[in-house]
Amino acid sequence: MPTATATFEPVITKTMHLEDSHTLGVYRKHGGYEALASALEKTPDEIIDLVKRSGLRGRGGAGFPTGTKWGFVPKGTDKPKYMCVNADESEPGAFKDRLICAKDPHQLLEGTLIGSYAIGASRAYIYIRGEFAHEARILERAIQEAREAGFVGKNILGSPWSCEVTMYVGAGAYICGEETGLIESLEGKRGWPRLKPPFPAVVGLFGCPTVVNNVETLACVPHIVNRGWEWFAGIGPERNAGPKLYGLSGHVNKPGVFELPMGVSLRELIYEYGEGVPGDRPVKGVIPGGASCPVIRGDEIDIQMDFDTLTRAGSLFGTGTPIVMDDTTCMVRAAWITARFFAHESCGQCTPCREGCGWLQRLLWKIEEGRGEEKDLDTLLSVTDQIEGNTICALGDAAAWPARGFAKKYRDEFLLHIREKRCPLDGALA
Amino acid sequence: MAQVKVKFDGREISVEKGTNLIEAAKLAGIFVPHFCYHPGLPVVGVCRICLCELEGRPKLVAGCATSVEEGMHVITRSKKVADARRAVMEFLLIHHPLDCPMCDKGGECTLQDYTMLLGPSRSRFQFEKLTWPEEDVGGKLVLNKNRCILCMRCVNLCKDVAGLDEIAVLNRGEQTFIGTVDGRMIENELAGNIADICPVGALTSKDFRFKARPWELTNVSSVCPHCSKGCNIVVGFHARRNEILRNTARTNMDVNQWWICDRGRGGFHHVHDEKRLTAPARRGDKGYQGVSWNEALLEISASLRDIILRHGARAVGVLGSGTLTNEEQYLTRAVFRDGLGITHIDFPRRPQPEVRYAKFTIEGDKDPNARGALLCGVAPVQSGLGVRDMVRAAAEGTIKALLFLRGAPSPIPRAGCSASARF
Ligand SMILES: Cc1cc2nc3c(=O)[nH]c(=O)nc-3n(C[C@H](O)[C@H](O)[C@H](O)COP(=O)(O)O)c2cc1C
Ligand code: SF4
Ligand code: SF4
Ligand code: FES
Repeated sequence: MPTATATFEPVITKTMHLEDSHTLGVYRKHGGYEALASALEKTPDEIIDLVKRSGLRGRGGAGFPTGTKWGFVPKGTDKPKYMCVNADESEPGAFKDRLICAKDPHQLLEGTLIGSYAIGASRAYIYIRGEFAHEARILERAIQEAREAGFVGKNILGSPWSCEVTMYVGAGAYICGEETGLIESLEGKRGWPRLKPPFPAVVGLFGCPTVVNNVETLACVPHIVNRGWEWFAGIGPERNAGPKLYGLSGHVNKPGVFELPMGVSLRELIYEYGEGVPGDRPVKGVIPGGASCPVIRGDEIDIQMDFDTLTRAGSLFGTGTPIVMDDTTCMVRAAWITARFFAHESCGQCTPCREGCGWLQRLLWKIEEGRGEEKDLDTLLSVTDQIEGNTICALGDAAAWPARGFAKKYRDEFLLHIREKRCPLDGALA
Repeated sequence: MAQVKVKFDGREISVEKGTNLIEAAKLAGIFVPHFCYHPGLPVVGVCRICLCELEGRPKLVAGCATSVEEGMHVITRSKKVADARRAVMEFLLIHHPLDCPMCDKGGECTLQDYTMLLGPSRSRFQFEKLTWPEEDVGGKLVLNKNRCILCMRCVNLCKDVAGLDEIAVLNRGEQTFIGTVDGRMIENELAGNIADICPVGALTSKDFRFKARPWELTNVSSVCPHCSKGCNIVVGFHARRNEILRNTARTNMDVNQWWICDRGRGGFHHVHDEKRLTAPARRGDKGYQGVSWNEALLEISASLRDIILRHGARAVGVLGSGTLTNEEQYLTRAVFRDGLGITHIDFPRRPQPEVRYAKFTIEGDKDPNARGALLCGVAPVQSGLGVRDMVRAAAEGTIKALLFLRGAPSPIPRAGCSASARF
């Protein structure tokens, strides 16, 4: 076992190997819902303060400090407040939230309830990706169990506070994971992201103050309540605290979800936990945090996996779910596949994203097919520049970054395609 | 409202708090291009042509969706802004058919205008374009999706002003399109406004299509005569052909804001109707026979004088009209009531059910100036008869002459009535 993380004791995935880990019985046997009980003895402000101090940053991709987000919810308004759980996990490469929903739904529910209590919400919605039919069934069952046991519903654990939890199944659109797209979809509309400001904390679901949090973010909360903020802040690098579920996929011997501290080295993740690359082939590149994060080269994998380090390195931590590519991978094709995904998932609302994503996809396909010209590479880069920052939501950026990343990091390979008029790897792959 | 001081490209102005950058820039004499923004519709911020730079902020902001704040310095003339806007133009045109010569909007198309204004003049997009068939969507409109820039104005007009979801945006990504739901037709009577506000030639009016180029028209400001609302309109008149070709809305915030109804929009065709009386005629045994104005007026005044002399002014009825102007109403009263002492004087009312949309009502009172008629005294006096009794009395022969100042009841009463004239 690796040394750097040897002392780390998993908390989120701790009971997931047990039979029936998804049931209330197993959850309670391991201390489940004790955090909710002790949270209800504190004031909502104390909970927010606790989460702030813990340094928990959102696990949905942007890494926004969770306690701060909760603190934005206005006090002293008559409007109802809402907690929305983002279980839309659709980023290619990400499959960590799915694991929590399937294997430990009560952990998510407990975090959701504590979060709802902290922001003063009496209703929480779990927005789950439409394709997660199995997980949705498990969650629904868990909500039912929790309601029967008095953790959901009226006067929770005898307190004056009541909270309903409702699950809502999406219809298969990546954009409904964007928090305001999610809110629109919950309202029964097209999942078109909203203009911001106003931010959801002020004007969110049904026009009321709303917090949208990722599944994993909320799953951390009961542990912070149980073990204290100092414990959480003590894991991982400064300002990037806590345990993290890394979803490792691609060319590794042992893909899967690994719970490790924030800041684990990417090399360690691939070689120790992922048990290396099949056939001991070299790593050619890694998309560190889900498809929207710019690729890093195989010689750059001695890097700490956390928000700040990857941003400094010109990439992104995203959802912390690396996709490993070995030397049999054609980077032009990888770029094209990524671009095709975003072109397909663009909601079609803003001009640069709607038109630009389709254009990127066509340019990349042209190059991959051996019809590319050198000016196509310039056009590609300029299209990414013109999408980035000019759209309503971050999907535009999420499409521009990887395309630019691939074209810049593997310029040689792109030029080879253009000059040789074919994909040099096509033969080798057969 | 509180005022704030802001600068646009160095020019300081004071504007009302909450004003968006497009409107505020106007006050500073600076033009911020916009496709999706319309002052009468909700802000959607989707086209991104209005991107502006704010001093000290790395990201451009949408001018339509950003409100002025004290001390803000808005930059609209930087390279960054120009590049971003040019990029939006290039994006909007990648699948556009560039068919201006055969597009009905040519000459009054925002996309065309901005291409001239912002460029670029060449596209780097060298792939097959997406194409769509033309479609009838009802509402007297034709939809050509190839030209649509998905500004959402049509959708929001129906949703917000008419309060109906008759046209929607469907699918996603570059396959996104505007359409009706399940092939249903647009039925609301405000839909014609879409042809006015669609910034391109995607939704055009069946009625006006291919009739003329907009620059051939003389635009005359007018008021719609089809109900008591009095919407302000622009009559598009083709001088060479001596023909009215369309009515479009003219903004008047106190009356109709930016909109008119489809009855008013199409309410000019009667002007060119073959059956319309354009010259005096006398009805005789062989139907109508043309006469000169001189002859007609002489004959009418002679028989009027004759009837009044023989039977008195109570043998004459005058039917005025709620469609006449105040001046005409005054003359009706001055000539017939005050001058000739006629007491049977009235005008017909033609009420219809009011049509109430979310933000626009088509009035039920179809007489644009009933109030003017009443105020001017076009009404029976000294137990004179009203419209219906007058017509009956004419049929029975107690009234010998009826004068219609605009339009006549059908059929025109004959028996017993020795003379009737309509103008
Ligand atoms: C295009 C797009 C897709 C997103 N999809 C997801 C998603 O599937 N799950 C998720 O938790 N966050 C997703 N996000 C991030 C959310 O907008 C939001 O930041 C997050 O749910 C906030 O939760 P957190 O603060 O707990 O991370 C997406 C963002 C964008 C721009
Ligand atoms: S950036 Fe793309 S996905 Fe996001 S709102 Fe705009 S068109 Fe939709
Ligand atoms: S049809 Fe016209 S008004 Fe409607 S979205 Fe397209 S361009 Fe805009
Ligand atoms: S006018 Fe601002 S985005 Fe369209």
